[in-house]
Amino acid sequence: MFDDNTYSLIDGYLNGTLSNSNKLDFEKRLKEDSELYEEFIIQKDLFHSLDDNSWAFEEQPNLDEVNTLKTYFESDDAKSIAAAIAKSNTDYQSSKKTVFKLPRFVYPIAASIALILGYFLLFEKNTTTDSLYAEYKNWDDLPSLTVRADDNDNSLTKGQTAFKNKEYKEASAIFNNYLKNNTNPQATTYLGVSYIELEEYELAIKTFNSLLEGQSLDRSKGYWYKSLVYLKLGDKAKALETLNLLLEKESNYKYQLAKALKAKLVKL
Amino acid sequence: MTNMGNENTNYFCNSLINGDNIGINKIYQLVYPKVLKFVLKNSGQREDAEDVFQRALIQLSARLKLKRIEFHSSFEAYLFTICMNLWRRDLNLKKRRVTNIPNQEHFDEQSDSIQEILEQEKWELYTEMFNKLSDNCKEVLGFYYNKVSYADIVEKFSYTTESVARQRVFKCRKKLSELVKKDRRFKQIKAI
Repeated sequence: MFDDNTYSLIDGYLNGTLSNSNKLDFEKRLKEDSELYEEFIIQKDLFHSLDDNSWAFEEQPNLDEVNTLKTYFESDDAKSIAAAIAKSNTDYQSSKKTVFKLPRFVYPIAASIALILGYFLLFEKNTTTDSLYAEYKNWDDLPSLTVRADDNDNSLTKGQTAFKNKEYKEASAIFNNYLKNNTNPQATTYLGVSYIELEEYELAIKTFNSLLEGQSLDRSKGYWYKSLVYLKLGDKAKALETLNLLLEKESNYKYQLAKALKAKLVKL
Repeated sequence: MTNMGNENTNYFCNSLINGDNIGINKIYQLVYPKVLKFVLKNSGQREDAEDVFQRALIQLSARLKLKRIEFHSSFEAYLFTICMNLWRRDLNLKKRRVTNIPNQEHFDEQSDSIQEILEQEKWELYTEMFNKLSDNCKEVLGFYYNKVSYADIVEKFSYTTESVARQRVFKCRKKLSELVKKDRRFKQIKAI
């Protein structure tokens, strides 16, 4: 058992008030005397635990405990609980943010503003085949055309550049010319979309049909773009018919998006 | 503890064990406002309170899954104490980094959670043992650990001399240390 002198030494060491030689001497004793070391650790922890402004960090954790906890935190169970906690946090914080108090006299004004806003929002929400077309058309996801050995005069590159610059007339001419002697489903897609932009809807449908007649992996793109053409034309029935063909196979192009689009279209 | 309190505690614990959002939302409504107030009062921001509260719930769920927790007070009070300690820890961690005290390197979030759990358990062990001491020892050590000088302790307890005060503090500390060593949790937390 330790006397009060030992405690004074421990305190002196923790407070940094020991002389250099006493400090080195004490450190040596700590290394040699495991009982003293244990006492020292407890006193040090107590200093930090019972002082309201401090905190006892753990520098020598029991590794068995650490591993048990580690295994748990890596489990799916732990992850799903953490996700549930994060969700509750989001729910709670967002519910607090929308609550704000207004002076009483503001309420009638706020109510009439809400009424007017509601009126406009109602109109905003009015979906049409045209608005669905605008929502779902996205030419940015057209693939970049790969340069091919048989493309002697760089027509694919030129066509793509024209398309990017929204010069659809030129783009359609280049792709049309190229496709006279070549088969290239990507170029066909570019041609069809160029026709949409030129409002040549019949030509667009014809082009996408030719894509569908082929055997390429890109063939199902024909359904997607065709359904967009029908949306643009306001032909709900034909658009739905085409989407249904696309939805026959889960591996088809834009399957998930087509599902969402169909759901919205049905409601019109 | 009242029966009602027990029911609440069980419900909240099960919500944390099962990751049930309805129950966890109720915990938020009940305890979070107090934690937010505490953190803001103690030089923290709203984001700190959010962070502390989530960490506390993760800690509690892990401990409920793996171990047994004895609730000496209500669930709310227990959770609030964990939050208070986590914020205390954060503030001291900042101090440690600033003063450059050699510290184990900063680990990932998961290691932080592990560290926080072991430290909270250690804190609970030490405070529990402290509470087993005689009232006089608790009072004297309360002053001692919060850095009140021996001269002031002499005055407060009407000891005849400073050496009497020192003896009293020494006896109480020794008693406390013995209680800690005897508790099996000590070796579970520490690799000594």
